[in-house]
Amino acid sequence: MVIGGGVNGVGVARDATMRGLRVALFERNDLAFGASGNSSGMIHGGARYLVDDPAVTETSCRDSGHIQSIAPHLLFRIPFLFPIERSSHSRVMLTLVDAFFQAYDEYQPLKRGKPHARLKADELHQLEPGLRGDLEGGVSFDEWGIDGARLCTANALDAKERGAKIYLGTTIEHIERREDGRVVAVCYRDLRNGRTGKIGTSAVVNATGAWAPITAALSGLPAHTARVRPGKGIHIAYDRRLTNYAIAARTIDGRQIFIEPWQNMTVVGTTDDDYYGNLDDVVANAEEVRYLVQGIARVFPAITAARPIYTWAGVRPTLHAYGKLEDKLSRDHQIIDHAKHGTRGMWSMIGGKLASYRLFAEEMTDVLGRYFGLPAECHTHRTHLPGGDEVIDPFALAERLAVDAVAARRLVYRHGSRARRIEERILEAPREASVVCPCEPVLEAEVRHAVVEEMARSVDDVSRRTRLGLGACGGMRCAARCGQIVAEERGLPPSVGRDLAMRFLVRQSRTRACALGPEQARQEALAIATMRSELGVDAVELDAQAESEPR
Amino acid sequence: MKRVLVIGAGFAGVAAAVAARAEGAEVRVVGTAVGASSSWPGACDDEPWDERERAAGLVGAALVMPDIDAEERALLEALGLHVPEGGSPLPLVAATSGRLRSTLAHDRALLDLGRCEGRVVLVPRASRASWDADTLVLALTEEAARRGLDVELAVCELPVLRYDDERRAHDADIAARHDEAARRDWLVERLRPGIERVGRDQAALLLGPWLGLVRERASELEERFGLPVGEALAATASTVGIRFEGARAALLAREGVALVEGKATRVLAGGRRLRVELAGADALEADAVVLATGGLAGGGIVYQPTEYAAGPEGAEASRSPFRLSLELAGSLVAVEGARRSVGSMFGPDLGALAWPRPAAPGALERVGVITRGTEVVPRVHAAGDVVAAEPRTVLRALRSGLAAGRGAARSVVEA
Ligand SMILES: Cc1cc2nc3c(=O)[nH]c(=O)nc-3n(C[C@H](O)[C@H](O)[C@H](O)COP(=O)(O)OP(=O)(O)OC[C@H]3O[C@@H](n4cnc5c(N)ncnc54)[C@H](O)[C@@H]3O)c2cc1C
Ligand SMILES: Cc1cc2nc3c(=O)[nH]c(=O)nc-3n(C[C@H](O)[C@H](O)[C@H](O)COP(=O)(O)OP(=O)(O)OC[C@H]3O[C@@H](n4cnc5c(N)ncnc54)[C@H](O)[C@@H]3O)c2cc1C
Repeated sequence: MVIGGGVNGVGVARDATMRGLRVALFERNDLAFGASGNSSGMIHGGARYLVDDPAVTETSCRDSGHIQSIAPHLLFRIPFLFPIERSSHSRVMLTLVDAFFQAYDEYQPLKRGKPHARLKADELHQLEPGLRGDLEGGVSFDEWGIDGARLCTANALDAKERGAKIYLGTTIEHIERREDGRVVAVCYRDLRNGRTGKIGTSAVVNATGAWAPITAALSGLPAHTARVRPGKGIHIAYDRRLTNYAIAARTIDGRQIFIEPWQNMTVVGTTDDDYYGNLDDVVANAEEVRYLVQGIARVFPAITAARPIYTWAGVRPTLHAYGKLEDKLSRDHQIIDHAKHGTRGMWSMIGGKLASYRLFAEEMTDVLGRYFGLPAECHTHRTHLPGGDEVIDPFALAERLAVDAVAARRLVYRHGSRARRIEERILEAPREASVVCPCEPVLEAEVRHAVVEEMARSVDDVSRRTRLGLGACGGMRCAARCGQIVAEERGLPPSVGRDLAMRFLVRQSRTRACALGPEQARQEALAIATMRSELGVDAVELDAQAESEPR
Repeated sequence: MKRVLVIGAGFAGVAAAVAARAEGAEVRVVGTAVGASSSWPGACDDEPWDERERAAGLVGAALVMPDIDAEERALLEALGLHVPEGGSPLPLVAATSGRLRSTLAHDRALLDLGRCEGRVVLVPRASRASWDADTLVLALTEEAARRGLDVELAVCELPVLRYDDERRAHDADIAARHDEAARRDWLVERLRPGIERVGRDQAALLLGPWLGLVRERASELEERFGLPVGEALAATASTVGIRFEGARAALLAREGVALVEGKATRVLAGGRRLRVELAGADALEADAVVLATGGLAGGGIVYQPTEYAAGPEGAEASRSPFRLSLELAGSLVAVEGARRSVGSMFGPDLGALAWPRPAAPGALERVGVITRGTEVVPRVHAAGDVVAAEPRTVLRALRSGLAAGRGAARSVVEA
């Protein structure tokens, strides 16, 4: 029984299923709803651990290489610039940084990365003219980007297709133990219709990230037996690619932040603050936005005139330790066997990264294998994720479907060879080639595919899987239609579809409001007028947590 | 003759011009850039329709047309709207989102489903991002049933797109093609067989916002088919607003009001006459000014956070992040309710206040210039969305425009 549909949970579900275990996964919200879908979207090699913990760097790089070979369609290269401002010690600094990345170069081949380059100030300016004037020099280095939600979806799909049961929108409320402490069952509740039930099990994996202490407590153990230090991080998305290089910068308190080109937009991130609020409703606020923008503006001043279109926030399940600053805490992972707390057959997975999820899952499944006396070996690094087996030519696809080349390219990015399945839908029902979200763009067939094949149940879910509604219009052009399609596919009345659309629109608006700039503010006022005119603000209580489906 | 200068040519500006003219003033209107009225989707309310329906629902009242002043009615009609008789049921227009909503008056091309009772409303398929006949029919069927409206909606395969590029073209481009008689003949020709199958007295036709750009062509099609024909309401990038611009030009020409293209940058209210400076053109003088520059959506109010474009050093000074799109000494732009200064460099916390909730408009809808009556500063009157805390609706803009136009013309006489 796996609890949590983040990258660690789906990773274990996949691995355990492949090794012949019978697996059920429960996710309280949606796949990638937590940290996994709200990260910086980088499969980095863990360069920051190079000094304290080079083993982490090595495993990160090696596993990054594995992810690349099992899901090549999901990765894209993000070259970084690391500029150094001129100061009394900047020359020493540059030498140190250069040496540091020289050490990192050793691991780069593991993840097919390019070696770093030491750059003079004018070379930096040539590469990125938006960089601020007075620089000593800097280095370039190489990382990979990934869409965390797609990574989770691919793993969950694979597990499901191999026989795992996946329950989304279903929370675990209680973990039952026998007298002797052995886990025997979990009790769940479907959060949409309130239905409850109980399923027998002999092993429970708590992969609930920042929720882990809450989950551990469901079995009657004290929460601190699966303690995490919850570190909230936010990101700001801008409407286009402002740079072609990611740029590392520093905040006023010396923390490292970045601006990165990510898919069709630019992302600024990230903060790291202890967070004790509601984990099911984490949003960025204006203070966090200003703190980041101020830091980026020092190296990339044009950021203050750019157009932010939304923000997102997640909570890192960092390993708990007293005394260190949040930033210094290791992102390394750890498996807690709760046998030592008197509960047998339950483990908590704490920490981890997108980059090393597969390895973490492998370690966890090894533990399960030993527990069940199962000899089977791990194959997850050699078996393609769904869509990773074959490269599809987007231009040929565009031609066959008579759709935009951009639309086809995006399809291939998200689905790899599984884009074929969407193609099949369109060949069967040519009307499904029509565009639902013009910003991304997303075709009707992909929306239906997300509902039928990828377990999406709401507009929010479709958006997580397809990036629908994440353009500058905030979903005003597509949410209503997407809601109708979701409702239709799920056999629900259109009014439910409309409520799903409203919930998405309202939730997205909350993520934008804290980062408004001049242009987006006007767009926002237009969006409000549009929503009033077409849907009405009173159609749904504007509370993102409100239940919208009939019990 | 006294001169009144109106800044802004949306519903409020046009109404102000007409009213000032009626008072005998010489009137000029500056500004033709896109505002709320030129992206307006065609429904006309006094208070937001969702609020109206919520209030009516609470007391179980029927949705009927209130009595409208003759001057307002004439003006709405001149601007291309259909205005029902007082006491009749409110029109129900279909939004492309699948909602059926009431409205007081509406652009003539919009289809009132209340007029289609007992009929089958045909909704043709078209492969366009903004038009999904299938989901629209499902949603509208549920909405009609909820309202107890006796109409049947049906998807049909009748061709409405003629050329392949129309799958991707903007609504306005398709609308413009329907300004050509030949295209309308083509449409009538293509649709007739399908309609005749259902029966002329039993069918109605709901299309996207495509029926004419220079002016609406739904009435003509209605006549030729002999049944109700009209558009659905599309609130993003609507074509109705472009038709408004056409109707506006005709009306102002009829009234003898000059429409000057340009952007006002400053109103100087010091001297005997007011001076209005324009970007890239000579300043204009007037005895009174009407500020009808629209709200945040229309461009009359500008949001500029203190740190915007400030460079690495950050904000220069603490100031309100909202201001008018032109300089006017003595004016105050505020989010009513948060009018007091706030203890932040950055103004009110928009993260919490920007969006509306049921029965509570959001800050971005409320923000505007503070007036006493219609007056901002002596001889400068304001109307429409630019005024703080007024509902952002066409009828309010029109009404306040008439009042401000009159006020401006009279303030001159009194002076
Ligand atoms: C701001 C930020 C930036 C990051 N950037 C990167 C990066 O660039 N690269 C990188 O490799 N890593 C990055 N990380 C780290 C990485 O995202 C996380 O460590 C990783 O995703 C953790 O995955 P997880 O599965 O453990 O937790 P999560 O993804 O948080 O999943 C936990 C899931 O459990 C569910 N759940 C909770 N309680 C219950 C219950 N009772 N029943 C059922 N389900 C439940 C939740 O809904 C949630 O979906 C970042 C993290 C953050 C927050
Ligand atoms: C998407 C949308 C849906 C809507 N739906 C409805 C509805 O269903 N029912 C309803 O009743 N109302 C609706 N409205 C609201 C309605 O359209 C507005 O309330 C009304 O049009 C406001 O008119 P106005 O003249 O005050 O402002 P605007 O129409 O915004 O006109 C202001 C004009 O002033 C110009 N201007 C600004 N600054 C300057 C300057 N410095 N110099 C020169 N010119 C300047 C602008 O360019 C603009 O043309 C909707 C609006 C939008 C945008």
